[in-house]
Amino acid sequence: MRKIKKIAYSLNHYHHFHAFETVISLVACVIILTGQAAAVVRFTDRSLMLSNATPSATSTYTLSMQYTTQTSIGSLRVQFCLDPIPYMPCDPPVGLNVADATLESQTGETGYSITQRSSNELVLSRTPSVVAGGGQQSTYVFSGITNPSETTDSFAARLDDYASTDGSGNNVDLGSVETEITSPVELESQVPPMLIFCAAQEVDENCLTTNDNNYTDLGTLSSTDTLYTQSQMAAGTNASVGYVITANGPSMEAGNSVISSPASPTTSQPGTNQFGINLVANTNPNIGADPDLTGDTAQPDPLYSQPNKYMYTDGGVVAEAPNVSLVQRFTISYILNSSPNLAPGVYNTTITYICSGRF
Amino acid sequence: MKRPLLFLRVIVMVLFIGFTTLPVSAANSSGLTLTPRRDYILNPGQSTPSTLPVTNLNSKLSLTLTLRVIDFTFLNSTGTPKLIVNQNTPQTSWSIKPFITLPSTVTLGPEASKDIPINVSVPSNQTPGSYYGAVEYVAAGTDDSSVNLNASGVSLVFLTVTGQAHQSMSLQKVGAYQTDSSAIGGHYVSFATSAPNEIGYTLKNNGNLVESPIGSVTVTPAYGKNTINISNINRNNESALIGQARLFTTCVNNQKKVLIFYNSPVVTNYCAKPHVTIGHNNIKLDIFYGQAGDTTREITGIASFWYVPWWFIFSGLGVIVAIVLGFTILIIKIRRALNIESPDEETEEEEE
Repeated sequence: MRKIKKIAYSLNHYHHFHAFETVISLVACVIILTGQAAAVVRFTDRSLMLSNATPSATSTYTLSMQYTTQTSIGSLRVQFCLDPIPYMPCDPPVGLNVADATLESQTGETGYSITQRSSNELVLSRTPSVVAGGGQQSTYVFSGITNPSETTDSFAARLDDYASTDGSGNNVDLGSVETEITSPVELESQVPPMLIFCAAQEVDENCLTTNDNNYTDLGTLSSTDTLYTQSQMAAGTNASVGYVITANGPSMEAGNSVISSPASPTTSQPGTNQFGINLVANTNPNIGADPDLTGDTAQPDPLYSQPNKYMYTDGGVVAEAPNVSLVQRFTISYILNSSPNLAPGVYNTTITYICSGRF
Repeated sequence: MKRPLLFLRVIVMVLFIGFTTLPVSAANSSGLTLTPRRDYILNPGQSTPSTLPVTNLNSKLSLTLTLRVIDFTFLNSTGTPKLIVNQNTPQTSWSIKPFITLPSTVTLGPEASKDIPINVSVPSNQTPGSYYGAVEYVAAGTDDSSVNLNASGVSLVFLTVTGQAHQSMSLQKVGAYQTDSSAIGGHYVSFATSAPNEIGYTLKNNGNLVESPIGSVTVTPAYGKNTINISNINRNNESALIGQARLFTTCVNNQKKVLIFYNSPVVTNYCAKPHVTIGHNNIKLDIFYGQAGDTTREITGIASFWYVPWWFIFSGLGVIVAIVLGFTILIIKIRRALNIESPDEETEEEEE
């Protein structure tokens, strides 16, 4: 009886441990796993050379690679797809036609002839024989191939070799080669990308007009009051990589005397030397405005988007769009504070806002 | 007779006030459109004439642009260029400056467009690889006031010199990625309480070619069949500059939408709400890179992440609490039914 009581008592206390263990188990689910990189080698040293990379041109394709598995191989499948990944669906490149291809020459592993063909696939067959090792490069030259008509996407040739002579059964090696169709000299999208940019004291929301004024006077420096002003700029692009705007130029200076700028967002502090900007609406002082388009991809840089906090670094990014962006208008606020012992002089600066595409 | 004189005085006064309060009009427009990027592929010894189209947006003022070629590099792991505007900075090893000639100034009338002629020329002994820089168009303003503004646009120009270049990329990281308000726009996550809307991968470009990899990602839950295949993981054809550890991201659930940009439709991608399975998910990355005609190289990577939403956590905790409470009540009832006291106490009593 005493033993039963002891077990029951233990159970009565064990539930605390059990709950603890359950919680620990749940917490254990939150183990941080970092990504690991691992290289996989298939056919090695693969390449595909086009004699003529012009869209829709008839071209000669030179396919080159090294077999890795030294076993008996009877066929080689070459499949042209937009996506190089073997297990992904194969979308044939638009306009490509390999159905009229001729195998002009072959080196390395030889003896092949084209036995199956379609607009985007060739199967080469031979009497099965063991491939040679030792890093032997094999090259196959195909003529009479019509290039894809689109230049916007690169495309790939997926390669598989088989023990069978008709491309059936399990593949032995696999791999893909990537290439692209280009204009021979200059690459340009079908819809030309453009970048629109304007900056002035006032600009309209589509950059078509400004108030044609690109300077402003702040007035007389005071150790008790903050001087402030604002300007505007607008930018937009249809380029898929977006744009970036940087502010370039020194802080306010008069000869060798420079009014320093905080390198991190800082509140306006009258009585200290301080020049700063931001790109949002402020209440201290009451200047600026938030960007016009709230849902647009273009936004002020986080460092310049804190209300009532100002900073300035020469060359710093002030706004950025990571994608296509309609024309977005930004209002830039400038504040200027000075200490009582600031050297007298006429302080000014020229800030160049540079709008650039991204890459 | 007095009324016309009074009216004239008012007119003169209004005009005077207008002239003293309105800013003096600048002589130059400050609105322009330009080409954000140009790519050229040339053989050593080859040259080509080309143009860079520019438009003056202003309907009243002319636009005088000062042109110059500047170098750039990467600012961080994103596609933001760091423009080297100081002409005293030493030229980069990948500078395109030696290969480009262009006029120093261009003037466009109101709303006028112009194709600025440039010439790209590669010496016959030039080392194969990528060379890049930027053409800067400076719309000069005034410089006689407190704060003077200049508007400047930039066209990034990339030149590939064909031949056996050094191509080398290495995978530094792959994983689930969530956007935030940081300078690079997001961070890798290994545990997420909201479904990660992107997969990120960081590739270091150790070669001398600008690389734009392509490939696919598969997200597979440890339990369940909701495998997500993401093809074309570099939809915007973004590039890794020489020496850059470049962060690429791709939407887990990529969708397209059409925007009207200056009366022309443009298709853009965006990340819609992803349908990620709750629990442990595995990521498999497969990337290809290599210029046309050169060796295609492949990189694969694996990673994993946990997706456990807050509602799931709270529900799980609720269930655990309920089980613990139920178990406790059960034990109490058993003890009462058996009239059990602490065995240690009993032992003490027995010893006594």
